[in-house]
Parts: sequence; C-alpha cells; structure tokens
Amino acid sequence: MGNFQSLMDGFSVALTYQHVFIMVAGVLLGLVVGVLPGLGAPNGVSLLLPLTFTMDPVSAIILLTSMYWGALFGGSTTSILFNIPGEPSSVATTFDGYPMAQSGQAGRALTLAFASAGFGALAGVLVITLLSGWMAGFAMKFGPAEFFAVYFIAFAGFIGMSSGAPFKTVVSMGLGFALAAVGMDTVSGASRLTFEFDNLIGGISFLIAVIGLFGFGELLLTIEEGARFQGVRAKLRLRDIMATLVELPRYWKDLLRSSAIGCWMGITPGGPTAASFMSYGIARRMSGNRDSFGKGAPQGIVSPETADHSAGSCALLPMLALGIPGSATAAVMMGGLMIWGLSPGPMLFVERPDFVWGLIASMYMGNVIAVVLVLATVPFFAAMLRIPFNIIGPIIVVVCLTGALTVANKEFDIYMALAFGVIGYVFKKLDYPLAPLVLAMVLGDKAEDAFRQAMIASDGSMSVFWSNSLVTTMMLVGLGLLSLPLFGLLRRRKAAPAPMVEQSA
Amino acid sequence: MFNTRFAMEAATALFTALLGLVICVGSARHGISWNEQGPEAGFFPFYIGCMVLIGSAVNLAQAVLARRRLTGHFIESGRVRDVAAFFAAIVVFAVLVSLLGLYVGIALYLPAVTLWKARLRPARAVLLGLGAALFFYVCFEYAFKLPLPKGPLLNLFGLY
Repeated sequence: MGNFQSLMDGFSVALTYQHVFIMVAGVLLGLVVGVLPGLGAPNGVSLLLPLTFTMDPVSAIILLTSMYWGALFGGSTTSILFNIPGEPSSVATTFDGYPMAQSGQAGRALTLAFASAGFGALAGVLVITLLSGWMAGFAMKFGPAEFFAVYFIAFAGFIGMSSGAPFKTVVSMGLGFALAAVGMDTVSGASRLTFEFDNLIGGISFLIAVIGLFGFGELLLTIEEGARFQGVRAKLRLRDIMATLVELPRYWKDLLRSSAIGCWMGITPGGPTAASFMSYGIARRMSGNRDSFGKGAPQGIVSPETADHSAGSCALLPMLALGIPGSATAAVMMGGLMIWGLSPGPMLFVERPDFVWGLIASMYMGNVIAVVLVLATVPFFAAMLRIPFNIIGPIIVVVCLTGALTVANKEFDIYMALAFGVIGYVFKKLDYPLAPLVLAMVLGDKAEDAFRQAMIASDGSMSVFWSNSLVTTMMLVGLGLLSLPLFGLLRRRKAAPAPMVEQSA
Repeated sequence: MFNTRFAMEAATALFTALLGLVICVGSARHGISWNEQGPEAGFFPFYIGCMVLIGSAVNLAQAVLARRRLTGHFIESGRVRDVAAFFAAIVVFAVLVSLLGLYVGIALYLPAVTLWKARLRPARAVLLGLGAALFFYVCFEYAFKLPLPKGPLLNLFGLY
C-alpha cells in the first residue's frame, strides 16, 4: 500500500551517517535526562530545542525524538535499580522491577523492561505507519470549526480523564491559554496582557515555562525529598541478556495486550503514564497469579513498560497528523516544529512528505538503537547516580539556567523560568497537573485562531460548531469527556490505586 | 501556621483567582465583544480569565470544605531550610549571571554551592566550576555557535 512506499522513501531520507550519529547522540542524551531528576523528557527536549535552530528540520526532529526514546528508557533504569521513577511513566515499573532487582535479578529485570519497551515502541511506530496516512487524509476535510472541535476534545480529555480535581486542571489549562495570549495578537496587532512591560511584547516562550515548571520545579521537589540514591548494583552480562530475551516471548499475551492499550492511550489524550498504570492493573487482574504481582512478577514489568512506550510513540501520531499533541513532550516537539516553520497537521503530509516519513522511519531505527545502547550503558548511568545530589543538583541548575538563556538570549527569561519553577513546585505538591498548562500554551494561539476563523465564517454564530455531523460528533465527544468527572463523583473507586495521571512524559 | 496543606491550597487558589482577575481586566482593555471582523482581541482571553476565576473559586471552596483533612505540613519542617537555601542559591546565581555574564557566574556558583553543601574539597570545587564554565563556553561558542551573555569581566579580555 501507499504508506509502505512512503516509508521506504522515508528510510532513504533517514538512513544517513549523519542521522545515525544524531540518533546515537540523542539517545545518550535522553538516557542522561531520563535518569537524572530535574531533567525530564519535556525539559530535556526544551533544552535541546534552541540548539536545533541551525539544523535542518529532519535532523532536528530526529534528535529530539531520539532523546525522547532515551529518556523513556532511562526513566525505567532508575525505577528498577533505585525504586525511584525517573519519569512519571515509569512509576508502574517500580512495583515489580525493584523487587526483582532486590532479589538479585537486576539484569533480568532491566532486560525484560528494555526489551518489552522496545517491542511496545516498535508496535506504536507500526501503528503510526499504518494509520497516519489515513488520519491525515481524514483531517484534510477539516475546516476551522472542525479543528477547534478537535482541540476541544483534547482539552476536554485532559480535564475529564485527570484523576485529580478537575477544576485544578481547568485552572492549569486556563493559565496556559492566558500565557499563550500574552504578547502581540496576530489578528488585530494589539499587544495583549503585557501591562506596559516591554519584555512581554514578544510573548512568553513555552520553552521557558517548561524549563521552569519541569526543571527548576522538579529540582526543588528532589531537594525536598532529600535525594539519596542507594540502589542495587547492576552488572549486565551478555549471557543474562540472551537468557532473558529467550524468556520474553512467553509473555506474548501481555506484550500484545499492553501494546494495544498503549496505542489507544497514546492516540487519545491519555498519555504514557495512564497507559502504564492501566496496563499493569489489567495484567494483574487477568493473570492467574495475582499475588505474585508486586513481588517481582515478570509480567509486572513487561506490561507497564510495553504500554508506556507504545503510548509514547503513538502520542506523536495525532501530533503529526492533526496537530494535537497527546503529551507534554509531544507538545514541546510540536512547538519546535512550529518554530522551524512547519505546521503539523494534514498539510504536512502533503507539503513535506520527506520530513514526515523520514521521521517515521527514524523512529524504527531510533528505538532499536535505544534498546542496544541502554543495555550497554546501564551500569554507567547507574554509577552516575551515586554522585551526591549536592553536586549533581547544581550542575542541573546550571544546565537549566543556560538553557533558559539559549531561547532568546534574554536575562529576563532566567527570572521568568525561576518564577515558573516556584509555580511548578507548588503546583506539583498541590496536585495541579502541569501537562495541560504546557499543552494550552503550545496550542492556545492555534485554538484561538481556529475559533475566530470559525466565528468569522459563520458571522458570529455558535451554531457553526453543530453545523455538520462530523463537527457535532466531535463536540459531543468533548462534552462527554468533560462530564466524566461527574460520573467519578457518583461512583466509588475500588481498591485498585487510581492512576496519578500526571501525563508529563 | 502557613506551612499547612490547607493554607497553601487556599493561598494558591486565591493567587490563581487574582491571576484570573488580572487576565480579565487586561483583556477588557482590548474589547471583549464582537466587531465586524469577529471577536475582538480581548474576547478569548477574557473568557479564559473567567474560567480561571471560576476554577479558583471551586478549588478554594473544596479546600475550605476539606479543611479538617488538610492539616499536614506543606513542606516537612526539617526540609524547609534546605529547599529555601537551594532556591536562594539559584537566585544569587541568576543575579551573578546578570551582572557578570554566564560563564563567570557558573565559575562562581558551582564551587560556592559544592563547597558549602557537598563539602567538596576546595581544589575540586574550583576545578568543577572552571571546568564546567569552560565546557559550556566551548559548547556554545564553537560547537553550537550560539553566543551567550559574557558580562563585563570577559569583555575586558576582548571576548564579546
């Protein structure tokens, strides 16, 4: 089918020495970022973004996505060895990963995790390959009202599916929209919400917000928790790796089921974190040996890892095809695309197929490279974590602050990032979700433009959002999602722990 | 008294409510109704501001209703100092960067905090600071070709 040919073309774009080098570098950087606290995937991608301005978009996006895979893998390393999730999406891996490592099987736990993760990621990329052309074609029929409806679904999904207080998500999202509105309005030329501050006329960069919220904020949290990394020693011998790889196909049901869950949660605004929890819960319920979960059951590692990585991959599909990022990191990447002058959405497939398919092809290679690299370098990264946080912490501070400067070379941005850091710290402690804020900041202008254009086309009538079956269906889905919390209130949750849907992967 | 979860929940809700108000007022300046070209510039942000206000009100109400439950400390008393110290150091670092440029700032900040908190030996701390400053300098000036503020000290040496 047509997609296969496009994919082959994509490989020819992606398979250059330069790009492979970039993939290796990106994955290594991602591993560092995933393993260290204060440098999560969204933050890491934000820090790299300004450095990609001089690169061509294909190389740049390959770098960023490779870093993303690396970060996802790196997060699992600390979950298993230190019982400290490096990424929110690796929390579920601690449940069985750490006990298995503690019982002397660290190598097996790590290999199970990385191999399942690789499987999940590749499954996700396969889904992207198969569905993207269709989704983009579908979205070509979209007018401004339909686009607004899709954005509405995305935002409603975050509000509806967050397990915390929905109104905290509302506030978080609203603030994100407001931050996006600061600065010059493209339609009227007016300078909004700047209050005569010259520094704000150019707007507030989402990169600064992410560095502050996810960087400085995370660092403050880590200091508060008194980071002390005393973990299990890991020596990965080739023999153990091979033995575990042979063992893996035994869990084919978990692998397939978790991939499916992950793909679904990635495409809809569920996110890798929710996917990993859901997959763990279902695996436990469906296994014959429920009690062995939590004590080092192999399925307890395979299921969340597969789901989390397939969700991470699939979150990029709506980002590419519709312009709707399904996670904070995807939102940052999308922001990057916009800065490079590309506009994600169906037109991207038509105007720049080399970019899109080069990216998709690189995802296959990037994940394979990531699995190999992570297995090879795990002891190194584990050793790195033994450096006292009182030394690593300040180094990460320097990286974040320098990153803030690279965005626009403005000192003001540093203080802005610090302010966001405080907000991020307080918000995280009070369970205000941060991903909707980032999402709203990145999508805010586009959502507003779509709204305005729809309104102009309809002469100010809101009925444009109910004017045809497609847009009506989407609006209804969005409203349905918004009303989910009401059902949650009426129902009592069972003993299974409610997933902390932080969605910051 | 302020270090309770309830106090912080309430304070944050009030703070976001204030932000919502600021957003509404700021947008009202640009007109919040329709003109011939569609919604005015302030229309969208105004309703966002309302959204934030309503959300904050609900959060405040929920906090007040749950007051009995939210008695725990916001930051554990033993940790307040460490968190505050860490943050204060970063602020000082930021000021140093504003005054003396990025690289001098790094060379001063890293040794200072590692000496103070991590009890690193002075020689090693200074080495770390200088090494990091040099590393970043080479990285940005040569590898990425992204010039960053160098401050008066480096300007004296002819490096702009």
